[in-house]
Amino acid sequence: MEQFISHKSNAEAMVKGVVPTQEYYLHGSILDSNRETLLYRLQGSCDGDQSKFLDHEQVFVLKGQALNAPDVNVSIRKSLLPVPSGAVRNPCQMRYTNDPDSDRSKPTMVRTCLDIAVNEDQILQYLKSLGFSFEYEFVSKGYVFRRGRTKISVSKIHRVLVKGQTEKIEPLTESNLIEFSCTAPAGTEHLQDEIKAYADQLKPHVNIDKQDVKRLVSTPGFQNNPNA
Amino acid sequence: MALPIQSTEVSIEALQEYPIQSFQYDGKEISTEPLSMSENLSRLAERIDFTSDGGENVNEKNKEEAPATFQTSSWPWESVRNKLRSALTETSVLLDILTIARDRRYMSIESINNEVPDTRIPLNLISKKKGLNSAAQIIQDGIDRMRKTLQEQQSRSMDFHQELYNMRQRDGWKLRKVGNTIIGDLSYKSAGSRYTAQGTFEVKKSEDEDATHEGTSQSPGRAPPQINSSIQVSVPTELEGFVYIYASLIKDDGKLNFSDLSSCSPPIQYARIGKQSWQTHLDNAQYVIFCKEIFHQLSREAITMKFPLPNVVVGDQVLCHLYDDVKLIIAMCRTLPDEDDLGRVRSNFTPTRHFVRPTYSYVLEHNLHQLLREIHSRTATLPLPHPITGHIGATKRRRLAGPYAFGKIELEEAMPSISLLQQIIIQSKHYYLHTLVTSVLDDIAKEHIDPQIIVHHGAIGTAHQSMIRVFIFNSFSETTRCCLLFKIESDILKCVSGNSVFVVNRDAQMIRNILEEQICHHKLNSITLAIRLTNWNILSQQSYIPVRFHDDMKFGGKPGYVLVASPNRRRVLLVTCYPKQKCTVSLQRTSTGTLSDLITEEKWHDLSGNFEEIDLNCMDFTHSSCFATRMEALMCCLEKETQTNFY
Amino acid sequence: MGVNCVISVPMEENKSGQYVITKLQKKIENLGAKKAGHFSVDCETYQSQIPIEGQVKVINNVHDTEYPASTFSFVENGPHLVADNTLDMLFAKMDSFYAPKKNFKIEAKGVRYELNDFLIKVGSVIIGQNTSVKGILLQIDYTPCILYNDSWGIITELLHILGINPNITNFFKSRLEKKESSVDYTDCAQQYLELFNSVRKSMTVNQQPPGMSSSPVMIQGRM
Repeated sequence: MEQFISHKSNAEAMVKGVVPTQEYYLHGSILDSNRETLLYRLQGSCDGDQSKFLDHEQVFVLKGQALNAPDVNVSIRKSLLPVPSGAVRNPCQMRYTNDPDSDRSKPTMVRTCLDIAVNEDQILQYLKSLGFSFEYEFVSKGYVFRRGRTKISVSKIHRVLVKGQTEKIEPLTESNLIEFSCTAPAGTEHLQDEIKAYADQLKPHVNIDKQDVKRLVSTPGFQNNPNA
Repeated sequence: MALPIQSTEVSIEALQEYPIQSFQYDGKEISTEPLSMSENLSRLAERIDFTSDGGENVNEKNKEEAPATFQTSSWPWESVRNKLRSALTETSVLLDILTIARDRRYMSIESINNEVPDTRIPLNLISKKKGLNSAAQIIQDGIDRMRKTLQEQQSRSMDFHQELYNMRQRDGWKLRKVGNTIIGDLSYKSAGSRYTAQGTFEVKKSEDEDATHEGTSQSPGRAPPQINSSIQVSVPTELEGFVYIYASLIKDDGKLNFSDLSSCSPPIQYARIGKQSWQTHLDNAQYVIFCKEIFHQLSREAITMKFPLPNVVVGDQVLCHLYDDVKLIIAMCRTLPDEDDLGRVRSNFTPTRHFVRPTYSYVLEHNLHQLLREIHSRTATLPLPHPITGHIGATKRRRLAGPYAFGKIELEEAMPSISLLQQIIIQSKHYYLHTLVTSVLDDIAKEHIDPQIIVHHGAIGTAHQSMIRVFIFNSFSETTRCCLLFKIESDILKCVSGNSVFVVNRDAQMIRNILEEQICHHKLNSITLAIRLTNWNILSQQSYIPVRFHDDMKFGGKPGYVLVASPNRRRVLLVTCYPKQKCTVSLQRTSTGTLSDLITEEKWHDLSGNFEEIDLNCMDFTHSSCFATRMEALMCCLEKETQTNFY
Repeated sequence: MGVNCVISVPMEENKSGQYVITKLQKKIENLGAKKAGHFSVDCETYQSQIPIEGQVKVINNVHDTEYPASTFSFVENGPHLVADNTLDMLFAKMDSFYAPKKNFKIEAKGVRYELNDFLIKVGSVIIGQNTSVKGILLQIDYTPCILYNDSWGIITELLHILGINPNITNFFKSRLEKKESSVDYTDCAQQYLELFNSVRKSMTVNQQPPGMSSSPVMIQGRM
């Protein structure tokens, strides 16, 4: 084990820095009609330029019932943006997230997450052979901004009409999902206040706050599966 | 009186005509009904004022009795009864009082002072006055405000909101409102900096002109304020003043003591900083942040990174080792506003650089600034991740490194890891070599008038790579010229001349030697050219063969020479050339005149003898001091001389 | 990235592993190769706690210092994945599903040499906490070429000079059999994995522990 650690630290020294494992995030929602104003506001207050994105996400789960263990959720996300000829496409990202921390006193939602860039050649077979089962998929389309270490995305969720065919999509709602997210190594709780402060600045446009998805799921009428 | 006078009876009775109350429209009169007896009595009784002090007590008493009789008889006497009763009560009370007062045990009657002051009146007045005053104040304030906005509208430069708008739109400051204050951002975070120091400033509306006038009137002799702006900014105290990065290379001959370093650390200067416009104030503060970031990063890297020789960080100074005997010192120098003089206004204040040592290098300071800006722009222009769950702040190659199994070298390329300190060390090494070469070239160019030396500094180059081209040529003929190329990198200095490449190891003497050799070569070359032009014959020729590294200070090796004969072979000249010395020209002495009388034939006159040096300076040349030209002239003269002798 | 060939160097009778390594290193140095740092390749093995798709899954995660940002993950008799080295942390999160096999961690480490176009690595294999040398691996990279058939000749020649019998892996054989087969970035890790498995197998054969006869270790004849 010691060797293993030494190897990893060696690799980390190369890769520089510690792996971010905590994600602090806030969610909000805005109607299409008001989206432009928000985008304009974000463009003014964020660093650098905005960037369009078109991502396809597939969610897999490793059911832990047999072992009496919590489920492991993993999503595979890849960009569908056209790549200029000759360039290599960005690798697809595998993301592990656990259930968010239920501490209400914290200014933002906190969950453990792992972002791993993976080679997409055999990723689906690999996950299948590890015992993961496919849950649902969606296409997310919108804009992404950066402000310091915070990533801000304003996106519309589209349902995929035919499984695996990302060309045939239709928007799920008339509103857009706003996500403020910051991934950082453990022990960086102060970042929460930074995110919250910025979210509060946008209060006149949109209310971006902690949204407990678990509670939403338990309310009747909520469709967990956008493919349904 | 007994007179029986028939008296006539005169009856007096009330008039049958009643007073008329009103006329109707048809002329009918309506008269008031006469009062009945009892009504009349009661009317009369009502007229009596029992409270008035009119009659005597007796009278009163009589009358008292009278109404009593009517008491029960008639309802209209009710009021009279009441009045009488109250009068009775009052009298009985008076009686009681008098009885008690006479006893003097319980009560005494004394005369009282009539002038009782009413205290309520002044109180009322005061509160009224206050109320009026405050109302007047509100109105006055309103008037003032309106007047001020009117004034501001008249003079556009004083409009606060307009200026605030310009501040955001034109000058691009980031402002936001927190509560009642306007906070701005000075930091370079949005430009890609990762320096975490606080960089906020507060924008306030400057006090109105009256206040500034008051301020100036209190202390006469001050210059009037020149800044005519309605915006006032306040920056954190740690960002006040002037800061600059001091970078210099110092020669360390083993005597440099690190303990001295702290004592010669740049002192914090205090200077009178006058009132500045908010633009310059903010610019200065932002410059301070920038310099702080440079220094912060340098000192952090100096401590954390491993170098062959450890770096020294003392106070506001960083010392790095470039070579064994050359050190790089980077310091942060500060000039703080003098507290006592903070308010004093100076019309034209220019920050002076107090801590300037002779070795101070503007080039390195500039390079440092440029390096940090490059780092900023590199981080600012990093593309956002696609898919968006990827990490922020990685290059695309770095993202690909894991899934596509990049090797070590590829990974290093993917990560811009070279540090600010490493880069500035590389650049200062280059700077050191560059200054070394330039100084040597300048010295040599000054020493040599013939041949001339021209130095071209390449315009295209980077901060760690540059070229210098050196031309050696005669001032009057461009036909022969010699070209040298110095290629300066950070660690290596190469000199290319002809087909040979020398690697010079920051050795000034060696650069000098190479140049001297080249000059020597050039001289010989130009002489051979002159020889060819004048049709003389080269008998023997050899260029200078150096024995390099034999002794740095002296030139070893064989001198270069040319041995030439005149076309008719009667004169032989020897030109020797040796670096760092003048070329010597010697003429082979011929035995003319010294031979015995027996030998008369002309040809025996030209038997060779010893060589004798010719001083070319004796030749009178006003127009040229060029060696080759003189040689040419000399040869022509000699040829002519032999020809005249011969024929 | 060029063609790389990993072979196992036979141990000598009555001689310690270190002796063989030193001898080999001396030979390489005599050829004029220069030392260029150290290397290590390790393999962590995980086993599923419950059968998945009807069988117990074994996953080998290989790390190579030559590719410091990557983890190569191989499902036995199944697909493989190349990912960021943070993949190991995912396995830590899945500890109730996949547990690392105890004392199964195997590592090869040693010195790197550079000899013109060749990259030569001599590694000693150790298992678990035990530091005794269980085997010796020699990796030869011929960097300018990415075709197996074209570079095989020059690699065998170098092996002959070093006096080593070219006892190549099944994986390498399968690559040689295919014409025009070019290098893939998992090749090196696959060869190491195969050799690691054979070292583990030889260990179990030598020790013959009672319950290990049906060991999951097997040589992969992949692709």
